[in-house]
Amino acid sequence: MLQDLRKDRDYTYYELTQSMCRQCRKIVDAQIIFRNNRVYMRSVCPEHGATETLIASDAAWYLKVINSPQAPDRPVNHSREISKGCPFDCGLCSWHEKACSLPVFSITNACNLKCPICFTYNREDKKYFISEDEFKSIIDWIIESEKEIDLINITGGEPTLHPKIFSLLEIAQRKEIGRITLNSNGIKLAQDEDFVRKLAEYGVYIILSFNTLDREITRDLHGSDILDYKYKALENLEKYNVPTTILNVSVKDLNDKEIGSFVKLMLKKDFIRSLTIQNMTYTGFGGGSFFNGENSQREHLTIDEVIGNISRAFPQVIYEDDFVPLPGSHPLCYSVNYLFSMDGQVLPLKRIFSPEEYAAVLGKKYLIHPDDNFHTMLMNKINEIWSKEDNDPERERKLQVLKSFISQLYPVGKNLSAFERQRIAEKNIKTIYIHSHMDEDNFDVSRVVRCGDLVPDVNKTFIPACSYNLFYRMNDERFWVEKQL
Amino acid sequence: MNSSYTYYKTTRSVCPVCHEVIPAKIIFVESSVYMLKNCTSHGEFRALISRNKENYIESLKINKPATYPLQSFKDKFEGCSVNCGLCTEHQQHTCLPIIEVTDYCNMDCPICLASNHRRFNMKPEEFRGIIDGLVKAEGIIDLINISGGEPTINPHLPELIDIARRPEILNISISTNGRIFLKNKDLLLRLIDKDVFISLQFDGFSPEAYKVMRGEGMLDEKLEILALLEKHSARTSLVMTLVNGLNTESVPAVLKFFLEKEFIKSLMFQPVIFVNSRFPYNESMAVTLPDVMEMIASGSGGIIDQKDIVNLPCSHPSCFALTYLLKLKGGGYIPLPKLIDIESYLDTIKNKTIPGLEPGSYNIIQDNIYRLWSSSGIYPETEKITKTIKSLIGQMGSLGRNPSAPDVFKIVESNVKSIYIHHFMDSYNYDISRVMKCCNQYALPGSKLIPSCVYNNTIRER
Repeated sequence: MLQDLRKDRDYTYYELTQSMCRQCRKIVDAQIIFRNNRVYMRSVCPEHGATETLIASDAAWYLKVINSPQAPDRPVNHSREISKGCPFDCGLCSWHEKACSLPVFSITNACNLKCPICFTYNREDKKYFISEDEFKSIIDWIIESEKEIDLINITGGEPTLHPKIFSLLEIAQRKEIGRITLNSNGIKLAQDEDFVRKLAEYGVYIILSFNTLDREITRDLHGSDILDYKYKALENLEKYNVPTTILNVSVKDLNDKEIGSFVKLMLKKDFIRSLTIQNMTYTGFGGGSFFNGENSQREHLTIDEVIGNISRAFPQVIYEDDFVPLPGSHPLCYSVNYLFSMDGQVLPLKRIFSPEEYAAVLGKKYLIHPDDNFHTMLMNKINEIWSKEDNDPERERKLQVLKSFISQLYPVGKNLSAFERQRIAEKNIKTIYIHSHMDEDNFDVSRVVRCGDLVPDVNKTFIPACSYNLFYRMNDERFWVEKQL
Repeated sequence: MNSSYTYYKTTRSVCPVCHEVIPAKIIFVESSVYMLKNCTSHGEFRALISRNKENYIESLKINKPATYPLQSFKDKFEGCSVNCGLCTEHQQHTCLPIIEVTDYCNMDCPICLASNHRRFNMKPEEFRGIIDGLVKAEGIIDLINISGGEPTINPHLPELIDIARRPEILNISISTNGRIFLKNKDLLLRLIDKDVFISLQFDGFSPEAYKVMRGEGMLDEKLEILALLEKHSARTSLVMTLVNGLNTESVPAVLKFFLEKEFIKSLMFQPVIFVNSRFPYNESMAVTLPDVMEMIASGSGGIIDQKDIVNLPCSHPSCFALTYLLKLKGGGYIPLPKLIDIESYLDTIKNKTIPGLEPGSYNIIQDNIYRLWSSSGIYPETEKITKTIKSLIGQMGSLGRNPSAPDVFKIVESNVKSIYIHHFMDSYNYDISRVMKCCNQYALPGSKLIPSCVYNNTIRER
C-alpha cells in the first residue's frame, strides 16, 4: 500500500508582506508566520537567505490587534507622486496613509555619550548644529503642512548641547504647536541646574532617556556608568516641575525585567507624566551591531511581551487588556495605556469605559484632551456606575477616583483655562506608551505606510521615522557615516 | 479615494492593464473589503475583495501548516511569483494539479478564463512526462484535473487517461462543457469505464445567462447532457460560474437539483473572474466568497447554515470554502459540520479536498457518534443520522483493517455530497498573499508547476 511520505512545515503561513534584507538592504518578500503560537516575520532574500524575527509572542494578541484597524485621523498632505514604490518615494508620497502626528527631528549630531545601543550616527568628526534659519524653516514647514499640531519632538545627538538651544525653543513657540518635547540623556540637565530652570520657563517637556537602575547594565547600554547623572537630572527636573517623560529602551534579557520599576517611578512622581517603552531596535551606529545574550542573537522584545511584563509587575492593578493600539497607528508600532493615578490609587481608564467610549476618549491623537466633551463623558460615567446594581468589586474605587478627578479638573464655581486643565489632567492621568521602531530584521512596508512619526526637512519633505532610519539616513551625511568595522 | 476608508494592510497585486506586479492595499469601506492599487504607468485601481468584512477577517484565521511536496522543482526563491516552479518557499504542495491538454474549444465563451489559440493537442508522451513529474513531486495525488480548452477534443484523450491511471493517482476529473457527449456517446462511455469524474460546466437554468456568459443560450443542450450523464450513472460534478445578478438567482434551483440527483457527487461554485476583454470588470457583477456562502445557506431550503460552510485551511482561506453533506438513511441531508465540532472537522478536511481519504477522519466521526447518542434529541434527525453512521461504519468495517484509499473513497462518495466554492483571482483582485499558498497549480511540460492565478494573470498569452 502506498504511503504518504509528505511532511508538514513546522509553521503556519499567514500572509505575505515586504521587508528588507539586512545584508544587501534590498526590499524582499516577508511571510508572517505562526509557530508554537508565536508570530514571526520570515524575510527571504533571494541572495542572502531567510531570517526569522519574532514580532509577537502571542498569536491571539496579534490577531486581535491587527484585525481592529482604525480609520486615520485626517487627510494626508501628499507632496510627492508614487514612482519607485514604498518606501522609496518618501516625502510623503500619495501612497502614504497617515498625516503627521509627531514631527521628530534632530538639531545636532553632537553627543556627550557613545552608547553601544545608539540607533543614530553622531559625528564627532563633522559636527552639525542646526542654524536658526534652518530651524525656523522646518517649523514653518510643519505648520504650513499640518496647520496645527499637538506636539513636536526635538532630538539629536544630544540636543541640549546645541549652543543656541533657547533661541530655537523661542522660534518653536508658536500658537499652532501644542507642546514642545526635547530629548535628553540627562547629563546637561544634571550638570546645569540653571539650564533646567530655563527649560521650565519655556514650558518645554523633557523626554529623559533612562534605561536601567543597574550600574552594570548601564555600562552595557551606554558605555559608562551614567546612573548618577540620571538621578541628578530627575532631581532638577522635579525641582523646577518640568513635565517629564521617561524614555526607556528595553532590551530582551538585559533590562526588560526593570520595566515595572520605571512604571512605579512614573506613578510616584507628579512631574513624570508618562513612560515610553521603546523596544530595542538593532539599527544605527551602535545598535546595528549590538547583541544581547551570549549567543550573539538579536532578540527582539515584542509589544505584547512588554505588556505582559508590566501587568505581571502590577498584579490586580494593570491588566494586559488595559493596553490598546494607539488610535490611528499601526498596532505593532504603538500601544498605549492611560491610567488615573491619584491619592495612591491607580486605575486604567480602559477599565471604566466601554471600548467605544474609550475610543472616543482617546480620539485620534497622542494626548487626551480634557475638554467639555470629556467632562460630560466622565459625569455620565459616574452616574452610570452609581445607578448600576452590580457586583463589580472595583465599583467604590472607580467612583472615588472619578469624583476626585472631576473635582480637580472642573472645580465648582471656577472656570479653568484649557491649559490649566491640560496640566491638571496630565498630573492625574499617567500614560504608558509602548513604541516599537523597526530595524532591518522586522521592517514591514505594511507598517511604514501608516506611520505618523515623521522627520520634517527644510526641503519640504516628511519622511516616516523608520523609513528615515533604514533608507534615507545614509544619504544624510549629517547623521550618517560609513561604519568602520 | 482619500476619503472614508480604513487602511488594513499592504500587499501586492498586478496592474489590470500591463500585468506588472504592483503595490496594493487592502482597505475597508463600510462593511466591504476592497483592494486599492497604483500602477505608475496606468494609474489607480480599486477592486472588490469581499462584501463582508467580518467574514473576511475571521476567515483569514482558518489556517494550518503547509505540506512540503516530496520534491520542489525549483530550489531557488527569486521573490514570490517570479519564475514559479514551485519554489522552496511556496506555502503549499500541489493538492489539485490541472493539466491543460488542448487549447482547442468547440465554444467561445465571453467569460472564458483560458484563451484558446487553437494550436495544440497534447501528445501522450508529453502528458506522461507531466504525470511522472507530479508523482515524483507528490508521491500520492488525490485528484488530477484534465482541462483545456475543451479536453474532449484532444484525440488522444482515452490514452491520456490510461497514462494517468496509476496507483499513485487516486482520481481523475475532466472539465468539460459536455457538448461532445451528445454526438460521441462512446467517448462518454469510455470515460465512465475509466472511472473518470465528469466536471460539467453548468451555469443554472436561465437561457439568458448562458447567452451572456457562454455566447449561446444552451440550457436545453445542458439538460440533455445531464440526462445522458444520469442515464449512464456518470460520476458527475457540476461547476457553476456565478455572475452576480445574471445567474445567481438559479442557485436555489441548482442546489435542489444537485441534492435530488444521485449521479451528481459534488457541486462547485466559481465566482466569475474578469480576465477576458469581452467581459470587462464590473463590480456589481462580481461575487465574493461570503456572497456565495449566503446564497447557499438561503437557497438550501434550511439544510445548510452559513456557518456550515468552512473556508479551507490548507488552501488560502480566501480561495476555497466547502461543506460536506451526509446523506441520511430515509432521505435528506445533514451538513457534516453540524455533526462534528468544528475543530475536528477542520482536521478531517486537513490537506484534502475530498473527504474520507484519511483513515483518521473516520475515527473522528466515530468519536462524534458517541456524542451524538448522548445528545439524542437535540438534533432533529438524530435517528436518521445514527442509522446512517452505523451503516457507514458497517460498510467501512467490511473493508478490513487497512482499507485502500479508493475503496474508502467509494463508500464516502455514495454517502457524502460536497459543495465547494472556489474563488479564482483576476487581475483586479489578485493578491500575492493568496498566491503564496496556492494549492491548485497548472502542471506544465518541463516539470513546472505554476499557481493557477499566477498563470492566468501574468503568464497566459491573451
